[in-house]
Amino acid sequence: MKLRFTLLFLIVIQFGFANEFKFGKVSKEEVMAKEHHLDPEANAAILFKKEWVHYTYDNNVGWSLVREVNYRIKIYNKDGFEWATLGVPLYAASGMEENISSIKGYTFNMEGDKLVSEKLKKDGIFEEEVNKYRNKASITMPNVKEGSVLDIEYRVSSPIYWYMDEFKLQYQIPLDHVEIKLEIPEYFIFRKYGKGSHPIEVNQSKENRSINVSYTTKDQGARYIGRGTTKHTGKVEFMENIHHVITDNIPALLDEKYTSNIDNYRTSIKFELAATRFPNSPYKNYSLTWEGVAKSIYDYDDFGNELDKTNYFKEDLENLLEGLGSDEEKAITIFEFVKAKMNWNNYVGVTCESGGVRKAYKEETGNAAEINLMLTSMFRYAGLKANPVLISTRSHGIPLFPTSDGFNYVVAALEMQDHVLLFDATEKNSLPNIMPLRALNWTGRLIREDGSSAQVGLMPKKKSLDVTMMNVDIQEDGVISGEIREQFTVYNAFSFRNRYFSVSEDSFLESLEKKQGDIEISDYEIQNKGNLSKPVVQSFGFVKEGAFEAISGKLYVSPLFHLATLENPFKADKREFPIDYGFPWEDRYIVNINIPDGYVVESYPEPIAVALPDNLGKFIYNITVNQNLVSVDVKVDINSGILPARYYQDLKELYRHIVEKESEKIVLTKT
Amino acid sequence: MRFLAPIFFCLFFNFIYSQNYSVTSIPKDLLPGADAVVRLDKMNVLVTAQDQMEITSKRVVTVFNDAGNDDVHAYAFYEKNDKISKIEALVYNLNGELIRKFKKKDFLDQSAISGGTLYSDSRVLYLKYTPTAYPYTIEFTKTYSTPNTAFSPTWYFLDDYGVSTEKSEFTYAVDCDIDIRYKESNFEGHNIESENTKSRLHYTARNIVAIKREPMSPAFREFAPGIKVALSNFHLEGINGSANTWQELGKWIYERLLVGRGELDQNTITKVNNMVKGVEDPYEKTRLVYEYVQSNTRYISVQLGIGGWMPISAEDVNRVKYGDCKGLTNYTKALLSAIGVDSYYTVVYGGSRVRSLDSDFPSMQGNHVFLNVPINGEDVWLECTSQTTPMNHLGMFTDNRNVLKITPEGGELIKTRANPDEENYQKTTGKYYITNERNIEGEVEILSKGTQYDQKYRIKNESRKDQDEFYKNYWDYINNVTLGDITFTDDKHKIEFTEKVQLKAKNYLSIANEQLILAPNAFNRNLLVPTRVRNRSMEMVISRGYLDEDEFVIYLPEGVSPENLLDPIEVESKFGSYYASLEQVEPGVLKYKRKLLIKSGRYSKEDYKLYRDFRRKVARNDNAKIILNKPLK
Repeated sequence: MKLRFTLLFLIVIQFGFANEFKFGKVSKEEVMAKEHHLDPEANAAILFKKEWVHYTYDNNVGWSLVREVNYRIKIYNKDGFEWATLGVPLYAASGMEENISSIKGYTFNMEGDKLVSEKLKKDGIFEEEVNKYRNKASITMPNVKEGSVLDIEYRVSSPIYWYMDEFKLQYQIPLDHVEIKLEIPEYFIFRKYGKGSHPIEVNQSKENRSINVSYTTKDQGARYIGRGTTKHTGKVEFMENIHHVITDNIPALLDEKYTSNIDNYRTSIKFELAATRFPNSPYKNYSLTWEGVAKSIYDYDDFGNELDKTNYFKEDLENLLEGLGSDEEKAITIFEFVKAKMNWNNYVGVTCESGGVRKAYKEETGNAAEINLMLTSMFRYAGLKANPVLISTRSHGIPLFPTSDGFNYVVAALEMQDHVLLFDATEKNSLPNIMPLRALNWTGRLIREDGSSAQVGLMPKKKSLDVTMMNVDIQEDGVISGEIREQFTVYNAFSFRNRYFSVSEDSFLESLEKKQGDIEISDYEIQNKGNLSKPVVQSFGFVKEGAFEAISGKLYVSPLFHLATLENPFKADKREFPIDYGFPWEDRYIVNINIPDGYVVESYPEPIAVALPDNLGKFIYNITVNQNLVSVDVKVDINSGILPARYYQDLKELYRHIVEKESEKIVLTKT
Repeated sequence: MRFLAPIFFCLFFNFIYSQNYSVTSIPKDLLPGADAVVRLDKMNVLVTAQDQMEITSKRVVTVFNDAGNDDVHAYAFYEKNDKISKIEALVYNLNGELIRKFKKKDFLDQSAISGGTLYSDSRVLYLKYTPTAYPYTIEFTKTYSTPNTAFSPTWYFLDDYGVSTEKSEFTYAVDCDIDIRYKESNFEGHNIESENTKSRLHYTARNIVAIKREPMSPAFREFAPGIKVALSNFHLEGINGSANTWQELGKWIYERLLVGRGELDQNTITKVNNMVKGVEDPYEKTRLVYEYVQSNTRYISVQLGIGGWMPISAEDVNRVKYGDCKGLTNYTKALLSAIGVDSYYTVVYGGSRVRSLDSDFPSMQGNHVFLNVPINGEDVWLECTSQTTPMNHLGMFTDNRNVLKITPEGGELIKTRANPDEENYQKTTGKYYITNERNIEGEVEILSKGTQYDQKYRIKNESRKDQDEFYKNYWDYINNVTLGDITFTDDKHKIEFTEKVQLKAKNYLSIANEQLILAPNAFNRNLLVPTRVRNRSMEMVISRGYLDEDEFVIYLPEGVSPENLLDPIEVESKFGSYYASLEQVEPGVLKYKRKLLIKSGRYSKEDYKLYRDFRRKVARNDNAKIILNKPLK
C-alpha cells in the first residue's frame, strides 16, 4: 500500500504543477498583484523557478549536461527593475564552452483591464566574453513597468558533464515556488547536500531510458594497408535516477553587517559527483569524504608533485640553514626567507599555475598554493614535520560538505608535539599562527604524505590586545594635552602593521589624528614595527581642543575623553546571523588625569562591571580619585572570535552600558 | 677609424640606458610626496587620413610603494575597430637592470564593460604584474590605430596626485590636409617647451613636482597642465564630420546622429495626444509626457559602435521601453514633438562634481545627455533616465555648468541653473519630552528642498529596515534609538520632501553627581570638521552651499529645572553664518533655535584654516550641553 501512496502523491504533484505553471500562461491576478503576499516590502519576487537537468548523448562529443531553466518574475516597483535583467554565467575552460540557446521571454502587463504581452527579441540578448575562463549571457526584458510579470526560459548545454553548480534556492527577493528535476543516467552517481535554514525535501525515483548510439571499431587483425573500420549502431538501455525538489515560499535572504559571507546562510542544494559506473569499465569512486577530497587534491600533479620538488631551492636553502641548530630556528628562518623572497599575486588557489613552484620561485611571485607549498617543501627539506593545510577562504564560504571545489587556499603546518603551528607566507607581516583574515574560516584539512588527513582548527584562540595608556593635563579653556602610549598584540598588531606599512608615515599620522577625533599629534614614535614577534607600540604627545565642558563655573569631564566609545555599533533590533569578529580581543584604557590647581573633584562616575553570559565577554570600569589625580581603568573583553546570533541582545546591551558609562562625567568645582 | 664607430656607439647606448632607468638618476626634488615618478611619458599621434590615426606611446614609471602601482597604466582599452599592433612591458630593478619582459600574449584580454552598462564592445588588454621589490621601474610601450579621429587623445603633463613627472613629451602630427585646433591649459609655472607648426604640435615638459591631495580642492584637471587637440575634419564609427565651432559640432550631431531617430508610429502619436487632451498649458503637457516616460521606461545601457553616440530610435525604445540616456532622451523628445512641444537633446558632463563643457574648445565632450524644453522663455530640464527625479529638478548631477544644446540650426552652449545657497534648504522642527529623567521621546519633521531634496527623497522607497538604519545613522550621536511611525510626503511639483519621524531614546541624558546633563540640540548636529592640512597649497572650493533652520521644543519632567541656558551665539564669517539659542518659554518648557548657512564659493588656501575654525565653532555649539537640577528629595 505504501508504494501506491507514493505513486499517487507523485501524480498529484505533477498534475498540480502543470496547472500552476505553463510558460507564457500568466494570469491577470499575477500581473495585478500590488505587493507580495508574505513580504509586502519586496521590490520583486520569483513566482516560479523551474530547472530541468538532464543528460544527452551525441555520437561525436559524448555526454553533455543540459539545464533547461524557467523563471517567472514579478516586478512590484521601480526598485525591482534590476530583476528584469538576468545574467547567466557560462564556463569556458580549456576549449570546453557552455552554450546557451533557446532563449525565450515574454513581459506581461495590464493595459486597462486587458492582459498584454511583449516578446523578448534578439536586441535584448547579449553574449560577452568576460575573460579566458568565463562568458556571460545577459537577457533584458522589454516593456517592463511596475507590476510586470516576466516569463523567461533558456537552455544551457555543458560539456562539463561531471560538474553542476550549486542550485540556489534563496535570493534577495522572495521565491514562491521552485522545482528542480534532475534525470541522471545510472552511470553517474551524485551525492546531494543541502544547506541554509529552509528545509528541502528531495523525492527520488527511477525511470528507464534508452538511447541510440553508433560507434566505429577498428577491424581485428587488419592486415591491409587501408585499415578497415566497421560502423556499429545499437540501442543502449539504462536506468535513470530522478531527483525531484519542490519547495514553496522561501523568504528573501537579507544581508547583515559583521557577517563574514552571506552565502554561508543561503538555502541551496548541491549535487556532487561521487562515482562513475560505465558498462565494461571499472567502478570509479570519488569517495566523497573530506579525507577523499584532500587525497584527490594531493594526487593532482600541480599539488603533490610540486610539493616533492626540491631542486630549485636546494642550494639557497642549504646556505640559509648552515649552522642552525634547533628546529624552531630553522622554521623561523625558512618562513622569514619565503616571506621576504616571495610576493603574493592576489590569487587564491589550491593548485599551482603552469610552471609551478619553480617558475614562481624564479619570478619571486606566486599564488597562495605556490608560495605555501614551497614553504612546506622547504620545511620538509630541513627535516621538519611539515604538511600543507587546505582551506576555504572567508569569501569562498564555509565548506559544509565534502566537495572538490570546497577548498581554494593552502597554508603550511608544522606538527609539533602537542599542537599545530600554521604558516601563511603570502603576507609580509604574518607570523606562525597569525595568518591573514581571509584564511581564518572555521577549519582546514591537513594532508600528510601518506594521504591521510586531519581537521585543523583555524580560528585564533589567543586574545589580541589593544592597551592604551594616557596621561592628561586639563587646561581651563577646554584644551587638554598629554601623552598616549598604545600597545597592540597578535591580530591587532598584524592589522596595525598592515595599515602602517601601506601608506607613508605622514598620511598614517593624518588618519590617526582624524580617527582620534581631531587631535594634534607630536613626537610620534613607534617600537617593534619590524620586529614581528613583539607587540607593536606607538607613543605620541597630543593636544585636543574642546575636550570637555565648562558650565556655570564647573568643569564636566568625560574621563576617557576622545577614546570613549560614543556609539553603539549594534543598531538593528534583531539579528539572524552570528557576529563575526575573526578573533577574541581585549581593549583596555588606563587613563591618569591631573586636576588643575584650584579645582577639586566634586563627583565622579561609579565603577561598574557587566558580563556577557557564558563567559563570552565583559566590560569593567574602575575609577579612583587621589587628591589631584583621577585614575581610570576600563576593559572591554570578548572571549570568542564568533558570537552566535542568540547572544546579539546581550552584546547590544553590553555596548549600551559601555556607551552610557563612558559618557558619564567627572565634575570639577573651584575650591 | 671606421671600426671604432660601433664601439663608441655601444658605450654611448649603455650610458643612456643606465642614465634612464636607475632610481638614483631621478632628480631629488621630484621625490617628496611621490608614490611614483613618471620618468618618461611620450606619445606620438599621427593622423594619416580623416579616418586613420596611429598612436605610439612609451611610458616609463618608477614605483616607490604600493600606492604607486596605480600610476603604471600598463593597459590598453580598445573597441572593435581599433587595432593594437604592439604592446609590451619591461621591468627594471632599482639599479636599472632588466628583470622581466612581457609580450602581448602575457597581457590579459578582458571585457571592459563598466558598471551600469549591460553590454558594450569595449575591451581591455592589461598587465597583471606583482612587484617583487620597491622601487622598480616599468617601461610600457604600445602602438595602436583607430579610425575614430573624433576623439584625439587629451594630454596631461602630470597624471594625478602623488606622482611626479620627470619628462613628458607629446607630438601630434597631421599627414593629410586637415587643420588642427588645440588648447593649452595651466602651463604657467611649469617648464614646458613647445615647437608648433601648422601640421605638427610638439611639447616637452620636464620636472613637474608631485601635488598632494587636499580636501575641498578644485578638480585636478582645473590646475593640471595639459593640452587638448581636435581635428576640423574627423571620423566616428563610419561617419565623417567637420566642425570648428560649437554651432558646427552641434549641427553635425543633429544631422548625422539625431535626424531620423525620432519617428513614432501613428498609434503612439494618437495615444500621446489623447493623454494631453484638453490640457493647454505647455508646462502641464510636458509634465504629463515626462511622467508617462518615467512610469513606462527604465534605464538599460547598451553601447555598440556608433550606438555609443547615436541614440537607438524612438520606435525601438517605444517597443522595448528601455534605453540609455541618449535613447530615453530622444524618445521623450519624440513624444513631446508629437504633441507640438519643441525640446532639445543636450550634452553634459553629469556628476556631483561640477564640470562644464570647455566653452572655448569645441570638441566631442560630455558623458551624458538630458532634455531641454524651453517654456515661456525659461529652460525646463528633464532627466529622462530617472523614474523618480521631479520635472525640472537639476539636483547635483547637472546643475550649474555649461552644456551643449543641440538644435536643427546647430549647437548652442548654455549654462544650467545653480541653486542659490538658501534654496538648498532644510527646516527641522520637533519636540521632545524628557521622560523617566534620562529618556527622551518625541517627533521631528524635516522639510528638504534643492540639493537637500536630492539627498533625501530616495529614502521613501527603502525597506523599513533600511529606513531604521538610515535614521539611526543620521542621529548617530543618539544611542539606543527606537523609531516609531515614519511617514513621507514627496511633493514633486514643489520639489519638497517632508519626513515625519517619531522616536524614543533611552538614557539620552547623562548623569553627573546629582545633576543631569542635556544636549538640547537632539535632531540636527553638524559635527563634521574638515581634516587639518599642514601647509595647504590649493585654494578651497565649496561647490554648493545650504541653509538649515531648526526649532525644537523641549519639555522637562515635573520639578526639573535648568541650572543654565545657552547664551545666544551668533557667528558671522565669509563662509556663512551660525546662530543658536536656548530659552525658557515657560517653566519646564525650553525652546532651542538654530540656523546654519554655508555659502558656496572659491576661497583662498589661507581661508581653509579659518573655515575649519568656523566649522569647529559650529560643531562645539551644536554639541553644547546644559545642566538640569533634579527636584530635591
